[in-house]
Amino acid sequence: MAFSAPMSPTSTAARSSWRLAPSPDLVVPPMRAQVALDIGGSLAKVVAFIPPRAGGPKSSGRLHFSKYETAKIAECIAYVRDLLRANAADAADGEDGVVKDDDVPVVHATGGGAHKFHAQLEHELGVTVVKHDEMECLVQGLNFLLREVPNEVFSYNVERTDITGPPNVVFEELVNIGSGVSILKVTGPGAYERVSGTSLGGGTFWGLLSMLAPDTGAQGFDAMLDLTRTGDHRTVDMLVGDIYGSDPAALSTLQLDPNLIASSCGKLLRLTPDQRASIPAADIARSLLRMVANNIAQIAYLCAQAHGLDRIYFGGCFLRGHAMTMAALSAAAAFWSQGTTRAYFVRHEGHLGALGAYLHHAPPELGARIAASPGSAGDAETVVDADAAAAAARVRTRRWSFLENFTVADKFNVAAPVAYGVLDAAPARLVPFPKLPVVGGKLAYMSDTFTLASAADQRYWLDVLDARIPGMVRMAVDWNQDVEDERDVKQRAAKFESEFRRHLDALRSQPAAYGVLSVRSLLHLREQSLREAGFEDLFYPVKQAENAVALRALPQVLHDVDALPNAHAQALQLLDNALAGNVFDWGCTAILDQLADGSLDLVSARAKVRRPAHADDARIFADHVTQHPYRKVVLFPDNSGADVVLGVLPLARFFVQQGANVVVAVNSGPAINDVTFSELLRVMGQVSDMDEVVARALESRSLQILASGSESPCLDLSRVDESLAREAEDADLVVIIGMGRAIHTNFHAVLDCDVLRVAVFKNEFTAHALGFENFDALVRWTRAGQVPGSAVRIGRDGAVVGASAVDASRA
Amino acid sequence: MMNLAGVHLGEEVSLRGIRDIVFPEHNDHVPHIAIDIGGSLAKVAYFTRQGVYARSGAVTPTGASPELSMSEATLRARAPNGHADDMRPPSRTESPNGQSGGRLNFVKFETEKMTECIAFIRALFDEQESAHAALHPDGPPCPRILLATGGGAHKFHDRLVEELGVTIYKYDEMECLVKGLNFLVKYVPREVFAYREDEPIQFEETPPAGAYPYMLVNIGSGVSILKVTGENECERVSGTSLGGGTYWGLMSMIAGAQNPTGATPSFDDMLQLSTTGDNTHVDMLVGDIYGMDYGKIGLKSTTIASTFGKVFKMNADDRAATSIHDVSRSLLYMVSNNIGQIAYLNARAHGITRIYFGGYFICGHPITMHTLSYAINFWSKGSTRALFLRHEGYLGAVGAFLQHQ
Repeated sequence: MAFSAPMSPTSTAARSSWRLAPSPDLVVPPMRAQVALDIGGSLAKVVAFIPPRAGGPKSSGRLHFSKYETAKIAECIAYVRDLLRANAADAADGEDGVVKDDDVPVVHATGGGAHKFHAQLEHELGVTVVKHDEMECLVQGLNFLLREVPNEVFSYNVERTDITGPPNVVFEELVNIGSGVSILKVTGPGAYERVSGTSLGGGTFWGLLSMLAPDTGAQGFDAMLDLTRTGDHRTVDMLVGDIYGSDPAALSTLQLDPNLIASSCGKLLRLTPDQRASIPAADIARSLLRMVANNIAQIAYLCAQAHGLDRIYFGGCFLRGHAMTMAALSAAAAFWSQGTTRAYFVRHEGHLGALGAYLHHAPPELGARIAASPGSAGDAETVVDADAAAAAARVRTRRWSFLENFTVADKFNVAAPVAYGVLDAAPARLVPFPKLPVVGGKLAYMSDTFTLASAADQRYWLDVLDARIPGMVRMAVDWNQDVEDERDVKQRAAKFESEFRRHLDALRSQPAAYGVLSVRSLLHLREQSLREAGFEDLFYPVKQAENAVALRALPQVLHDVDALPNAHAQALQLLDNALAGNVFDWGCTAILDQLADGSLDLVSARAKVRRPAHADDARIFADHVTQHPYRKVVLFPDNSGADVVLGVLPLARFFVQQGANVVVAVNSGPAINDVTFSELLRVMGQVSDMDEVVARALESRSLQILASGSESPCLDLSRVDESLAREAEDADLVVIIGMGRAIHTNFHAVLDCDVLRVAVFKNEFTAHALGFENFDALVRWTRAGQVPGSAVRIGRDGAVVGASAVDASRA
Repeated sequence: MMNLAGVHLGEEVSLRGIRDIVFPEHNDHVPHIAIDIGGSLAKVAYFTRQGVYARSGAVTPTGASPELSMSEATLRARAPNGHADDMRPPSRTESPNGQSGGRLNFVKFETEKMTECIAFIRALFDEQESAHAALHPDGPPCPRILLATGGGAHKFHDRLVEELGVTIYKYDEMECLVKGLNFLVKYVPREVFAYREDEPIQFEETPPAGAYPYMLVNIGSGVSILKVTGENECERVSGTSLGGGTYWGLMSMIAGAQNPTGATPSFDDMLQLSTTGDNTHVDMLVGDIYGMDYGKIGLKSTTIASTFGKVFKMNADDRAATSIHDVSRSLLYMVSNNIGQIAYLNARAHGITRIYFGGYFICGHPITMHTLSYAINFWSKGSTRALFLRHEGYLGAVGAFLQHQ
């Protein structure tokens, strides 16, 4: 095909039609603040959704978590009042901020205090307080976290904290440890039953300790728990060795462990007043903690066994992120189950109930329906009973997801091994990409190629990111001072520097604090830190420049490709171009000059790239694609500029010409110099002016640009925009471009369709870890179910079915 | 080997407040004494022969109470039709050969006071030996054999050998418990009973139908949960460190702190305190949190939500002034409820519907037995039976006693 002439009149109409087509699924999170409370005997927990504010960080709104001592309920009320007032003022300023006078805000509340403080809350806040059942809120909160927040779950022992991925567990047990303990069996969203409980809970620990060691009583919960760290329970508990004697030979014959606790507090018997006084409070604290934790874990395990439940989650205010308590529960669960059952914890443990109450805020599009449903006027029990169905409806119809943001992180307790972040509303509902394999009801997918499990890996990447901070700051100042107030820019840059470094330091001491540590999570944290400092799109100026230059070179590139004799040669050329485009990252100023003077030469770029044979499927891919054209192709591009304009778009155009429907799935929001949805829409407008093939494809919707739902330089296919997921249902090829998406993530991923990975290694550490050299190219084509880089193929049922056709042909 | 023919309970409670077990057909010399030394208590079982070496007032242990044991008191109070006489086991006539057999006697000591215990055992051996020597002036000297079980059998082994100059045979604790229990269940009428508040005691038939499998929950300082599948087959399936030692340890600590002299009450007295206590002064009830029943999940307002849950919120003075009676009741509920719950969950896991509770901690205390029975009945919805024994504290000692061939 010949080089296409600049735009025809028909393409103008076409362009406006596709550009204005409304996204049918775009549901904006509410523009009003929404507050939920869980007021327990000792703590009042608040979950507040705060819509974006003028001058605040760019977001679609944010879920904040906070807590107050119930004894200081006035502080809690003041916080909520300020929050609601500020929001009402914001809304009144906004053009569509219609807050009617008769529109009394609703606050959803649970916990004993929802009853106790009901009148006070309504009176002092001027709101309607709707009460909700505590257990129901706990379960809804837990289900929400398991579904919406990756890395929410972790297991703990003294040596390490293991963050686990999304659990996908259907039958689970929730053990909520407050003053007393409730054990719930959870079998689905909203389906739960209280199967057991025990009166030996946090209240027992605090009560007994304050009575046995009266000085501790005034110290407060955390101080009392902290005592356990230094205590020695052996002065208080009767051990097996105390009863049997400590003769090692006799004990080993009897197969007894002399250190097992035979009788909790058994040594306190018959002490003289002096002996009693000489026992440190810390020892008693340790003994009581072990007694309570061990007992809870034993009963929890027995109940899980009786009900056939797979996992035990511990939550509730007794935990308070306290390491010793979690270690004791974990050790006891392992002991009683002989290692078959692990104890799991959730990072937002203290806010399960408040989150569950928050979910009672009706999503905007459902508001009218739920408000009109019977029994919803402030009567918690009726709402709950009437509405298992409405609960399910709520889950189905809330159309946006949340992204955890650790730049605003908190811990339940200063010594806690993990933190929890605020939850930013994502602009869309995020769901798994449809081509991810599901084995036994479980998503068989891990985006990260490696998690940074070893101390050496952690240090390397933390150092790399730390070392790059000054450069980022320089860029932030250089590129933004023309458009904004220079002093302000410098202040914000300094804020970014100090905050991001603070987070890196936090991760150095507690690598699991923010979930699974990976290159992806670190890069994401940097993006969030930039945004938090007010740099919404740091690379915007340079991306614009690169796009402009690349667009000028595009006609020649397309012309060269079209001039080739056949599709096979075109495919090879396009892959070469894609690789060459991916070499030149924003950091290479040389390419900017070349682009600027119009002398862009992908041939010279190509020369930089080595093509190791073991990862070069270009030829067999070209063989295949010319004989068996794909029907539906989803492309994930990487950088702005040459990469997307000269590398990816011509490739997309090639598939269109082959008769495929093509979706370019592009970042919803900015991440370094990666191309974004809004940016690519503008670029496409210009491209369709230059090239009739693209113009027609856009008009006929055989070429679509969709937002991926990601705001990261990496790609987590388990959470993509719902509209993209729907469009990708029938994809037979996924093309993933670049280091972040095809190497740091998805390198090992197995999909239920063919995958083409095109990237260049630009980090030596990563290259070596995967058996490559720096500037090696990766052109890896895998068939559906094939494990990348191997002959093994995984069937739909998860079974290994042996070598694939492609490997047979390769041999 | 003991002759088990016609074994029955003694007509009267002994000096130690507990009924002997009569072996009417056993007329041979029994050279051994059995001891089960736990973390808190040492239990002794020894045999006396009618008219040869009978129970002697001279060897009354100083720690022993001449009053009725709580078990016997409870059983008397709850006798069917309210008549103490009906408690009396079927009386046995004189043995046909003119001899009148013997009795198995029981006594306990605090493990702390091992010196007393050793002195008592020495006196017993001395008495046996002189009686034996009187009967067989030319015979060889009577051997002194101590059959020992429990952790203390190991811990105090050397000391016992040294101070008593006896031969000691050690036996596995679990084995002894099961042997003792099987003997009591099978051969001693009116030994085993079910307990219901406000109902007369119901005795179990002897021997029971469909004996195996059953579960034995032995509540000593700690708690062992055994699954018994045959005469001598058992497995320790679980246990908990929240046992008698926990109750006594906590009570002792709190009572001692409250008493100006610092003295602590005896085991039995601590339990006795609970009968006049009110746990709702220290425990947080469902009603304290919700102001009502939490009917949706089946919790009554009187259900204990959090043991000791009210204590932390007290000011220091109130906390110090808390009634030891209230504390005793709360802790007794805590330990008993918890054991009942864990016992039920284990029984359920193993498909067992009969649970025997043994161990000295129970000592026939009505609140304990009621709490355990209630817990088993509540959690199992009536499908599992909780059973108790008169000699609940002496299962291990009886088992050890019967080990000697």
